[in-house]
Amino acid sequence: MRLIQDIKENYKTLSIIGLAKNSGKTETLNYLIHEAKKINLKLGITSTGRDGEKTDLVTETEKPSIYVEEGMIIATGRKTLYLTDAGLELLEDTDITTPMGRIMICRVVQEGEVQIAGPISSKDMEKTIKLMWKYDIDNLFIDGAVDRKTVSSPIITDGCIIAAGAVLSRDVKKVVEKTSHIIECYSLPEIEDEKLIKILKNVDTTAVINKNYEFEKLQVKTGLGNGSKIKNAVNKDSKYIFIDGALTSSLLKNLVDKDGLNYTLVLRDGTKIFTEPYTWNNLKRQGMKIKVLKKIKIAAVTVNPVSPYGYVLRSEDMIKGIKRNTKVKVFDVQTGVEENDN
Amino acid sequence: MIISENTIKSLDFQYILNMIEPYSPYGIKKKKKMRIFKPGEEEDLLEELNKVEFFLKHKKRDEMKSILAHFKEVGESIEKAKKGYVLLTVELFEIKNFLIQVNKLIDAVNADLNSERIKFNFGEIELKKMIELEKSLDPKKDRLNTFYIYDEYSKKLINLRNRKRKLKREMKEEKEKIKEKIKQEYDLNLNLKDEVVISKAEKDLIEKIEEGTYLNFSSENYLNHIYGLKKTEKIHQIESKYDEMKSLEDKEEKRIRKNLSKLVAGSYDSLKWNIETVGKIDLVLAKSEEAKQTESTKPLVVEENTLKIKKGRHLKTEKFLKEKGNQYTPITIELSPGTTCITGANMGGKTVTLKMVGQVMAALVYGLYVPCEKLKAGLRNFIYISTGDEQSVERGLSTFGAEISSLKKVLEIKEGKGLILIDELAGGTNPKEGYAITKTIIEYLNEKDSISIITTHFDKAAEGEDILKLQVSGLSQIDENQLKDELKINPKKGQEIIAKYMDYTLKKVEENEVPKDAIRIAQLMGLQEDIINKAKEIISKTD
Repeated sequence: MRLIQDIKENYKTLSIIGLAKNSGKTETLNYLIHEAKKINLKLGITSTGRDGEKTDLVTETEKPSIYVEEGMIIATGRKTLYLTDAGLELLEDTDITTPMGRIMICRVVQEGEVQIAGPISSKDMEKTIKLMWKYDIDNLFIDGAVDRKTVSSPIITDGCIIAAGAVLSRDVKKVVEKTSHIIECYSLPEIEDEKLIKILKNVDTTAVINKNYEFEKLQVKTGLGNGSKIKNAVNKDSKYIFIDGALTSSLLKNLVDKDGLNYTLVLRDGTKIFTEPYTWNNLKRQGMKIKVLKKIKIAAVTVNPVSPYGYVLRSEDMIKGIKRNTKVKVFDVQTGVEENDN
Repeated sequence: MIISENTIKSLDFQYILNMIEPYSPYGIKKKKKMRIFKPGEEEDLLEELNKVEFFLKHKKRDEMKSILAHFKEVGESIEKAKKGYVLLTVELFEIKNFLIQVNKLIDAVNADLNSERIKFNFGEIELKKMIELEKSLDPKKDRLNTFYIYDEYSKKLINLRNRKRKLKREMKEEKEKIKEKIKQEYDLNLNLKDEVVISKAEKDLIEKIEEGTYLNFSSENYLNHIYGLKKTEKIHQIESKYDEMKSLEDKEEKRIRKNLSKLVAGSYDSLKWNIETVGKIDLVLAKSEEAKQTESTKPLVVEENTLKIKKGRHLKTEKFLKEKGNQYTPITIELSPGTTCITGANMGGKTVTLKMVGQVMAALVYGLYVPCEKLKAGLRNFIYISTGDEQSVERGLSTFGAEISSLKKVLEIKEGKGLILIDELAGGTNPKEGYAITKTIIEYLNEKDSISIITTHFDKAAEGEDILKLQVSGLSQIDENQLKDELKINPKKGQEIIAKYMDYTLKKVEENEVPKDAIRIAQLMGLQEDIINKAKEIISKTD
């Protein structure tokens, strides 16, 4: 099945995320728009906004211009409307504010390039998505991002596409390793322990849960740098550690580096993991157990073999390497050739 | 200033002001400049109160709130247009939406023209329909709130856009043709950027491409050559034609925007009027909402110098008590020019009563409904309160210093009908001198046009037949044994239990001695028995 057909059927809302700048996210989005046109799919598009200092769209190295087609619905900050060369009919003014002005809902009436700067917070993103569904669209794409501070878009969409680029490393093995690591994190198994799920519904801090399902809330807003504090609260009766926030390499080392303890780390979802693949794989071999509340569905991985730093990797090597570790569709949008073998 | 920041703070009047929450940016601006009514402006105040009543009784209140919440700020765009600037599409969109919201608001207001409308100059809050401007911003006549420089604005525009579309189509067709040839000749597919990446290893293919006519070398890296589609003469022609059309379209759009901006500028006065009026409606509606929430009533404004409150409530105290499950006792009080003295038990609510009077009167001068069952009062030139707790650490003044310093300023106001509220004047200094100062000021203020209330614990400070003396009814009427029993069960809840049994109402008294309740209250509050006994001993000796 072609990717766009899969998206049409299984991902009403989809976020496209890049593992780094220039990893080919915009190309992927443009590719999908092109594909959607072929099967007359009506699209809505927005993006996760950039916070204050990053909003300088003029000086930013990456200028994500998206080529939009007639009939599409977009949601973007008021100021970006001055930067567009497409014809946009203004449909609705919202109360959602961003550094680029209030979010406006527009319909494309003349195709062309636009810059889209959407809402910053998850809450505002959800509001925006709701407003966009009022209009005549079949699918909704978010030019997304995974961020420690602002919205991690894959969580609020039905799934995501990961854009992996040569920009990650000059060494194709490293690119494959980093990409596979993210795929693994997103695909971590979901918690099935109903008792635990029930408890975590009402927990909004990091907590240690013991075998009798008694929990101790820890006053650490994010797991960042608080390894020892969490570690001290763990004993032989601990069954789960729920980390509300980012899981970093140092925190992970701190938590797993304790003999004789047999607990499972629980995270909200895979986008909260910011660890080095090396540490991760090492600890995995030592028996580390990690589960998530919500698994993130990956629709496809796209590769961009060209790095903005002037080097190029072999597209086939990237694809082959990543495919070894995943069943999802992996292809190079630059060639536009989606394999049909899976 | 008729009410100073300090007085607003001491009266907890901000609590009421915070409950006035306009929905639109225009109403919020109006609130910041809320009018204060002075003596002589009784008629204007009555008009304002009638407006509040009109909206309070209006059946479409909720609808109006939601319409107002959708208003966006267009003031800047309108000023821009007046100065001759060409407005952007998004600004025209906002003005169009403003007009649509105005229409909705007109319909909502007119849907229930209850009879209160005839009690004020309705024309003052009557919004103007702006049919001409509306029409010009809705060329498709579909009455939607969407906006674009639509084809309907000019034939020229349709023409240009059609030609643009045609050129784009031709371009695609031309490119497809070439791509087809490339496919046939080299078995290659171009990507979205019309490029193809060829590995350097494929020397034969590269040679073939270089000799051919369809692909252009565009860049290389150490692995690949990248070729782009070679533009034919025809493509160049189409491109330059397209650019020409695009720039003509931009010009035509700008011409249309310029015309529309002129129309906006031409409607400047009406737009300004509507902006102002939306603000006025919003503020009055917000005032009526506050009245509803606080169960306030319409005051009776008179020209005579009087102040009669029936069952007045200090809202913040009332809310505080309610949250703790206790009741607030509304207070009835009738005042006339000169001094009124309130004496009575500690914890008898004297301070709250002072604040209540101030709050009710502050609400009146701001043109609000008042938190009492009935108010009959004349307007005041100023409202002043001293609660004796306004230490001014920054200015290095003690309680007494701050008290005297602000009192001095108020006494300097010789003329006019003020409301002066003083809580335990000179309560923080020695009783002999405190008494002297208090008595003098009571007599001094008694000669003035202002209405003054002073609470005091000093005996005989309010001597004199023409000084009205009020006393808190206090604990005298209740069964003390019952109270003591309750305190025994709950010794830590003394304050609440006393509050429960306290009769806060005021009664007129003739005697000049203040009631002696302090030791009794202290005892009920559970102060150490030996201290109470010793204090009683001292009292009996001095008597």
